[in-house]
Amino acid sequence: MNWLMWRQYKKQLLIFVGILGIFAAITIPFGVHFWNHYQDILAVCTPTNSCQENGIRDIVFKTSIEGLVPSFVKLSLLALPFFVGLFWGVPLIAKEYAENTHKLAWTQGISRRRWLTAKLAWGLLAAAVYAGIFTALATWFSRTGNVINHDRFAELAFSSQAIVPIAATVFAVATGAMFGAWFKRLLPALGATLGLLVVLQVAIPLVVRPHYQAMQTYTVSLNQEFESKGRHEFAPQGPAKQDWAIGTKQVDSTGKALDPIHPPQQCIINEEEVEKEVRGDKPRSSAFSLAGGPIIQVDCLVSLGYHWEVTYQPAYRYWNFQRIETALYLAMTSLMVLATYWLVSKRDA
Amino acid sequence: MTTRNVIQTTSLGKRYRSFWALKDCNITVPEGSVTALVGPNGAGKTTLLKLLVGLSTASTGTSTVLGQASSNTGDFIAEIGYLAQEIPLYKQFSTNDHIAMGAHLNKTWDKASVIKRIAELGIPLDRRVGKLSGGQRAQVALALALAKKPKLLLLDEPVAALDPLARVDFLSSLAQAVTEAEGNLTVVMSSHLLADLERICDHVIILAAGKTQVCDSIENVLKTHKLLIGPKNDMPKAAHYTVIQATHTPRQTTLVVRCEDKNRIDEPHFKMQNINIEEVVLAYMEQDKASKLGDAK
Repeated sequence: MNWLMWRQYKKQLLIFVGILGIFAAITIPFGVHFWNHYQDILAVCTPTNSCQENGIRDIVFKTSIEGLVPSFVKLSLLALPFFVGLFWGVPLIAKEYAENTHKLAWTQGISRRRWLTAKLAWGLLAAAVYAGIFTALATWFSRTGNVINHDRFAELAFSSQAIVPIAATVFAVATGAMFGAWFKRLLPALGATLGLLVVLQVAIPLVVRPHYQAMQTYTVSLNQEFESKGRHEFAPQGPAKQDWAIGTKQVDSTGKALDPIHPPQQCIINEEEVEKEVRGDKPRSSAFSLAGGPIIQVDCLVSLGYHWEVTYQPAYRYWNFQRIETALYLAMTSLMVLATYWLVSKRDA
Repeated sequence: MTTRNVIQTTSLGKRYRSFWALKDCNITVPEGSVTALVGPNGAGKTTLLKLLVGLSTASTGTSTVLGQASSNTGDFIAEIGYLAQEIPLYKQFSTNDHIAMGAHLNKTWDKASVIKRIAELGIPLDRRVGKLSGGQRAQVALALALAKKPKLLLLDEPVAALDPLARVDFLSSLAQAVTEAEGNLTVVMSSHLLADLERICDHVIILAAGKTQVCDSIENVLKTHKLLIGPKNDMPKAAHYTVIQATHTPRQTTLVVRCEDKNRIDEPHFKMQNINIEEVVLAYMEQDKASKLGDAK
């Protein structure tokens, strides 16, 4: 069976290795370049104590073609489970059914169970090794961005580094194999696999992941200036830059969120007063409006007890979260494998 | 001479939802026989073969092949050669690749014999089978099925898709394999046309009208089936025999009948004639058609 697996998939493997080669040819030189560039800048600005993160970010990932490389790497890793699941996992069993070759394989001298075990074992192992190399390259490449942007815990970066992409890819292959065994045809199996993977890739980071451990909350005064990280410039992040800020809202002392359309009456300032401030007839105050609502005075809100409330996951939980999500994917992989065994051995050819 | 049965089924049936693909099938196939499995399309020939080889699971009844219940385990399949209707082969593989695959997947594998067979037919061993002709693919598949030295060979409509010349070649390869096996190879081969199989088969199973109509040696079938020809519209007594098919023309009535003892047929107005096996099969197939029309009403 090992020989058969090798004979059947060596060409496909070669194509996959070629793609990995292209990925390595992009990540390795750029990974070296970005890191060196960052170190060079540090060497210049550190002695004069003039290092500014925003400035460094702009210099290292300058907005030319180079600036696209980190996004490309991130997206590649997000696409990896889809690519491997659809083009490796789905054909694993569906193609045999579609071309009737399962009837040839199952009437040799080995049981269906052994045939399937070899298929799944090699299929999943190869996917794990392949995704492992991919992920190692991406993780190594991302070190510069991780240091400058402090965002490896953010939704997309989390899904594209460390160990989660490996488990997600293994799961995608098991899913493809299962749907292949279910539908016995390529197209429906591709469709179902794609559908499930899309749902999970969206639902896990947005709905499931924030709850692996109880979220913490952090309050910030509405008046406090907060350092921008390039994203969410109008809202504060967690207490540390590396934390994963999940939700930010303005609440009053009872925890009730501010309604930007109907804020407390006394805090609304009318156009006339704004104009006075603009003309310099009145001292300037800080104010904002949201979603087409009235202009709201910040000092007034503060005096009423309003403040920022940030729900977040602290940075030290990063590896814990990686492990939990990996375990989640592996548990789902086991279910897929069990279902595939059931479908293949209990159903008729 | 007593021979052991290689295949024995009792009330074997297969249902897909509410549709019975095969119902109450009772057959025995003696060792060393070459059996034609015939019947109209949809009579359950493919279903029966898949049940026997363990590719499908029975809904009712039992199927025993070479002393073991049909299943999808390696032990069971070891001594059975099977060739599915679609003649499945890996299109990207050459014949050599298939031979190597068989060597890896079977305990017994006669590599030399399969190479010899293929070489004798002039089929290039290193060409991808996707590039071979239909007849050549069937020959390769047959040679592969024989390479595991099976005691039983199950062939599902192997010649259905072949041109007449390729049919003859395929059947002569098969006949040669049967001869070489010296009685150790039992063959069951399905077809919806008996003409192809008549020359090499000595047994026949007729599946029609939802059940096993006949399962016997061709010799016995010809003994127990007769043609009765008489004047038109003269209804026979039908004692001690059953009418399989009645054909009326303006001049005469022709009956295909089944009788355990032809000497007990007492029809003075009818002339009794011998029948050939093809006519017997056609008579049962007509009956199947008639029963289906009856169902439709």
